[in-house]
Amino acid sequence: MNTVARCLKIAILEDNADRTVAMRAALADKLYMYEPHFLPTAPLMLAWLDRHLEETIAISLDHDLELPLSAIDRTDPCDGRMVAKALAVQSPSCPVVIHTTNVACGDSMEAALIEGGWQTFRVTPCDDRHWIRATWLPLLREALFHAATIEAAPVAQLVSAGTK
Amino acid sequence: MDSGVIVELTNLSGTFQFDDRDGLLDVATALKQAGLMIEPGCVRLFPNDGGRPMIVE
Repeated sequence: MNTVARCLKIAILEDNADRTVAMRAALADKLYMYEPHFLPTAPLMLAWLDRHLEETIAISLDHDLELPLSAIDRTDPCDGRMVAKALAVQSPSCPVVIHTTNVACGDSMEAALIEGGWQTFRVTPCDDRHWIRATWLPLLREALFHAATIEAAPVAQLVSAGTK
Repeated sequence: MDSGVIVELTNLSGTFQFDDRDGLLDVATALKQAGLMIEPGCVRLFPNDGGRPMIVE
């Protein structure tokens, strides 16, 4: 039996370098126990989720993604809706935070995920990167709070209950 | 707090990092002894090993 606990992961679709730095710092400060994974394009995120969705405790999705001028790989980054639609046809497994200034597309992502049974949270970025600590992090924390499971009873307690 | 009732009690302060279930329950007990009410199911532990958060009370 594998008794090594797996560190759960938080997957974030984000193409902006400044936001990524701020999010990484916020997570290291308050949600240090989880492994953050930043994916800058929808295809990369989908490939990552294909391998790690089972170990993912929360997902955060941006919508508009841009290819940096310096990017060597010129593959279309697509957008957050592509990821939301792909998740929507799978069994819900963790909460999803949508962090985009694109309200219409954010609505569309949210609707797709809700229809697929996923729990969603929504934040609209504002005030440069201030929103990351002010709104995004508390929302992510709330999402994780709701992802808690009932603690397994200690073996001794189960044995005791079984003998009553 | 919501209407005088504690609705979230976790070890996620970020300042005092601890991973002790009993310590969290001690905090809950101390709060109740101080006269505060805690909503059932809202005491949740985030294990330091990155495991799934657990409802401990």
